[in-house]
Amino acid sequence: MSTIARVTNFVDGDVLDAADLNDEFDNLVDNLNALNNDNIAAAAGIAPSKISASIAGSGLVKNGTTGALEVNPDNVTVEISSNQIVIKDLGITAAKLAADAVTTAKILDSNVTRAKLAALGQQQTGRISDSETGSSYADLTGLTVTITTTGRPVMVMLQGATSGATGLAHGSTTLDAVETAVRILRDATVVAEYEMETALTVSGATISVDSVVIPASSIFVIDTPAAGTYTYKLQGKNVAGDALSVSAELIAWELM
Amino acid sequence: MGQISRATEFANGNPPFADDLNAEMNQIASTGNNLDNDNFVAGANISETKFASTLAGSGFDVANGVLSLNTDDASLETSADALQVRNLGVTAAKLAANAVTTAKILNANVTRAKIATSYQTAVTVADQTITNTSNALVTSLTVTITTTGRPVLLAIYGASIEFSTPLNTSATALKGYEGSVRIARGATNVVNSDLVRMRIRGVGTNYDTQVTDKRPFCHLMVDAVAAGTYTYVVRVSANAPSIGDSASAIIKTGTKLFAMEL
Repeated sequence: MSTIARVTNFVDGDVLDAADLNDEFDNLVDNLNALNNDNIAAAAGIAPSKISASIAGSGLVKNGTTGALEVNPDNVTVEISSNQIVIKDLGITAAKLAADAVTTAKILDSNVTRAKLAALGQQQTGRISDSETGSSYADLTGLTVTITTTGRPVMVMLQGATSGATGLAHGSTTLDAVETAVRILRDATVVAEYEMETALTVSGATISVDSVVIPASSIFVIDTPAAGTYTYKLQGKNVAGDALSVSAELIAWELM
Repeated sequence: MGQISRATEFANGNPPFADDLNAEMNQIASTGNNLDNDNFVAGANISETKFASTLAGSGFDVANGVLSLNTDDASLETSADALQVRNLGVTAAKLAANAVTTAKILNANVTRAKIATSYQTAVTVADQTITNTSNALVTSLTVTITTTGRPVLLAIYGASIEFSTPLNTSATALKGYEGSVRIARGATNVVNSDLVRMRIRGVGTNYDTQVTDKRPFCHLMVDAVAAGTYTYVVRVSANAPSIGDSASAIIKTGTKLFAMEL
């Protein structure tokens, strides 16, 4: 279809023929019922209000007053600002972020504060006091913790307590040389072993190493197991002397 | 208004009456002034230039009648005729609080540099000697740290501590020293008494004794404490096991106290 053209150009003196009239009117009616772009003036300036609201598809809305097509933002994640579609400040919530979207480069240095870190998950006994008199390794009762790790190194150590004397002691009321040892085990695996030996040499007198005490936190190990659940414990033995005495807490945590 | 149809079908021999012509012409004129969707052919293909530019509402640009989305080209853009989030377009300002949860962080991508530091240190600048004293405050070995509620690692290190007793030429029974190290959080002992001791026993006979025991001054402690601001101090004891005897401790220059929230 194109612009409408007349069928017959009437001139003075013509007899109005029914067929001509019918053709003319038929032509007009047919064209008015089948208008297309050609029938609209170039500068028609069809006002938005003349357009059906159904023109607004997904994400669009037709202004009820002006008829203009407008982007329809949720004003939560996106908004219109200065007639531009923009991501709204604070509009990106966790739900909008893909898994693993945040890589190293996306994190500002020094912005992961302690409060953002997951709990340390340290496992800690209370103060335990126990002793071993035997010459073979045996568990120091109660000095055991179980920790589940993600594969990072694990710090395991003895430490003092908030009350009561703590430390590792050995000695003898009769011997001038005493020897004990302790070891830390991860399940059945020895991950650290420490010997303690003190000897005195004196002439002209009988003398004994009555007591030697070292701080509890002298005993520690940094273990590097794969991710898993492990039980750490302390064992001790008394090679020479009255006893090995331990009074301490055992604590283990996965290093960050 | 809808599609129109002829009002009168003319036939030869029936000259058109004025009413018939007027009816026909009026209908056409009226329709021409009230065109609606029914008057356009299915494939009318009305071009963009026929619409007023005011059709472009918020979020749109219009050029030569063509509507296009008006993005900021910073956070959003159109690419391949599709609206999309622009690469690097999601800045910190766009992220909601708590938006970055664990699942959003690629494993092993929180490197050390990303973690804020949270430690304090103090160091002794002169040797400090104490004799026959319990829980003497170590000068300069004080740190104050504000925590978020995670455990605090406390460490003493960096130099030696030397315990000693003077020469005793008529010793009997117990001789030597008994020391202890305490780390206190304010008025609360964190490590009440991490003992350090060298004690010898003579049996029945006078003997000469003099003890010198220099050892690393190294202690570790984890203090599980609620969020807050805490001041930690170090106290050292040096005593003799027998009344009338003497024992001393020298805390060496360079001894450090380190406190870090884990």
